[in-house]
Amino acid sequence: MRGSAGSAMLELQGISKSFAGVQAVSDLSLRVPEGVIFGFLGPNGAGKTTTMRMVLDILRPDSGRIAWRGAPITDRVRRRFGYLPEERGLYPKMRVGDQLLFFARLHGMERAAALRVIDRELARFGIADRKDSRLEELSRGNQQKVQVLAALLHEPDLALLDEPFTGLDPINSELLKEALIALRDAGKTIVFCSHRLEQVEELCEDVAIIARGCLRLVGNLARLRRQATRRVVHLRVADGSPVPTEGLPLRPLEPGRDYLRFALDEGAEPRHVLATLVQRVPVELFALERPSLQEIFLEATADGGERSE
Amino acid sequence: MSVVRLIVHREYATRVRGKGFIAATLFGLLAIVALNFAPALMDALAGSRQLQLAVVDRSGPAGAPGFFFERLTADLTETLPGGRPAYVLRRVDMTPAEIEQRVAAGDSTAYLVVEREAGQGATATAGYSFRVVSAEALSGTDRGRLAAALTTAATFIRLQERGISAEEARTLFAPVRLESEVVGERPQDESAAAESWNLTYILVILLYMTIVMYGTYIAMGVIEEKSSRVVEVVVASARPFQLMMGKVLGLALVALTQYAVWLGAGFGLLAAREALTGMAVGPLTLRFANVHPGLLVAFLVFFVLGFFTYAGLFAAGGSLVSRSEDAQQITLPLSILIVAAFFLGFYAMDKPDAPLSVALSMVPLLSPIIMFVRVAMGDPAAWQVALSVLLSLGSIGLFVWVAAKVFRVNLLLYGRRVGFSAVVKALR
Repeated sequence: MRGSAGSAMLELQGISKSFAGVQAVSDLSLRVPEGVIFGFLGPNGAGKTTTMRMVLDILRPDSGRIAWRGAPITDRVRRRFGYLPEERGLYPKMRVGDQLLFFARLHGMERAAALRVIDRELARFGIADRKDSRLEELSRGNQQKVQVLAALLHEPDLALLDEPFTGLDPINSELLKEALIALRDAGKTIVFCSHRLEQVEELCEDVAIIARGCLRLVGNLARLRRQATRRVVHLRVADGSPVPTEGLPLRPLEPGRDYLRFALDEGAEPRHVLATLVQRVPVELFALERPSLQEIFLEATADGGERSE
Repeated sequence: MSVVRLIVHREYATRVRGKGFIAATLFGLLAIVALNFAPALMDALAGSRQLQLAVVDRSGPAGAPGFFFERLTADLTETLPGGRPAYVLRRVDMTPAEIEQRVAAGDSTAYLVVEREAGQGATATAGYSFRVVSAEALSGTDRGRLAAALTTAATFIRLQERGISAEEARTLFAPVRLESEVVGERPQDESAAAESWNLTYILVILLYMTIVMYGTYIAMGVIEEKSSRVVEVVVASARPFQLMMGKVLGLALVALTQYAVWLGAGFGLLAAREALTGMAVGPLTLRFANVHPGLLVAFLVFFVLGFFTYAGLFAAGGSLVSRSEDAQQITLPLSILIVAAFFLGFYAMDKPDAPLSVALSMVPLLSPIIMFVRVAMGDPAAWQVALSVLLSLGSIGLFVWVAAKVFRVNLLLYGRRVGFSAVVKALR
């Protein structure tokens, strides 16, 4: 399905941006392949929003280049993008239908086609009856749905979504997930930011992690987990007795539900560790796990990506 | 559809359907209708109804009964605001007893009884006594006019007694004719000049009001888009310049729509009233046929110039603040500027071709109002009009350029205080 994945659709080359002396993004290079859902991660204030705004030419980078399919992004190309900003906002007094029609046409859709899609999608998200309501009369959750639709109705070539699942209930989250997967399967590229990493793990083929405006890690998520230097040992002992780890290359981590977790030091041989443990306690479970995205994220931003601003 | 056209369309459609626009338009219509029918209304009010005046004049001078009646008929020619004569005179022959009886019975006619008076003090009144009998006291105006007319009549009698004939007396007291001449192509006579003054006055007020009103709409629109944060979604697909121009053009169309409604209704009513009554009446004397089409063209031209001169400034100003509560910080200084132009416009109405007026009509922020006044009231040289319009266009270009930069930079900045430094920074 995603045979062409790998050729970069969106490419950032050494972009930097600073505001009043604060370096928001520094020398960031990134290639987002075609037809993937790309997780763009980082702690608060890492420069994610600034980067998205630069891709959309809302902000101009101080230096560096941004390309789409190998060429600079023109207004025509940009109109075919979709954007869900972190700070949600639509016209509060405009009717839902008019509002979506405006944004669909702003993104280059024909009126008739837009009207068709609006009816279909409003029905899919269960708010067809609110088409003629003013936006401000809708609940927060329903407003959120309208906002998502405004960004996605025109099946954007590139969708930039900042925390798209925030404010959606599980049912609608599922609908949105389906919509994103359908979009990807149609060959579109989706970049999304989220702090809910389990959602990212579920959806994203590729991720990039940035902190303090710098790229920390980028690539295929499965490969990243395989390549992670950090390995995790899951361990359960039969009678629940304490585990003597003296002399072993293990550092305790937050335990799992019914097992203990340890970080395995770099270069250590797991089978030596197991051999030693078996001699000491009745081992019931010994498993070598790939670190979760959560752990990869924390490691990549270990220097405390949080910036005081 | 192009991005700008879409934004224009959105702006226009939401505004025209909005409560604010409908309320303002209806209010304007109401004012127009009121102005049109005010004279008739005033006419209908008690204070200005016709006075029925019956004159009992049995004893004219030297065998000329009815002399006073004739003089009064000749002199009391005032009309009511609605155009009907203020006094309806008739000559009656009744005894005082009969008169009192009729008045007591509810006759609203006022009876003037003229009688010969002999004896001392006769010279003071030319030998006559005058008495008004009515159910209600005459108004001050009516009393004054009646007394003045009777005084004139008495003067004629006194002169006649001294051997000066009525003919000679008429020549002696012939009023001078004060003529005023308006040089130029437009108003040929005095009443037309007054009409052109009235119309210009109304149009200048309209010009001023709409520039302030629509400028404020622009600023408020920008602030609303900022405070609802929708602006970030819009500028992801549209250039800030396109957004600004879309807003400005959309509101310009809304304003022109409002004008079309107002002017259409105003002139429609004028024409209808003229057709019905066959005359132009009222305190704001205005005749449909006398409205020079060129004046309306000039009005539209200078409205468009004024609108765009200030539109960019209001848009840029709106981008500097993020909450509607702070809108005043922006709209107030700009409105004061327009008020200044408005007041200077009054000076120019008085002296349209004075050197100061000529100078002011070249100053970009003032010229849309001042030059319009000069075109309407004075006789500016063609090159002056052309120069003023060119300067206006040039400054519009400059303002829009500056505004676009300020707008672009400040659109996504929140919570900053408004300051000149923000503007300067944007221009760098």
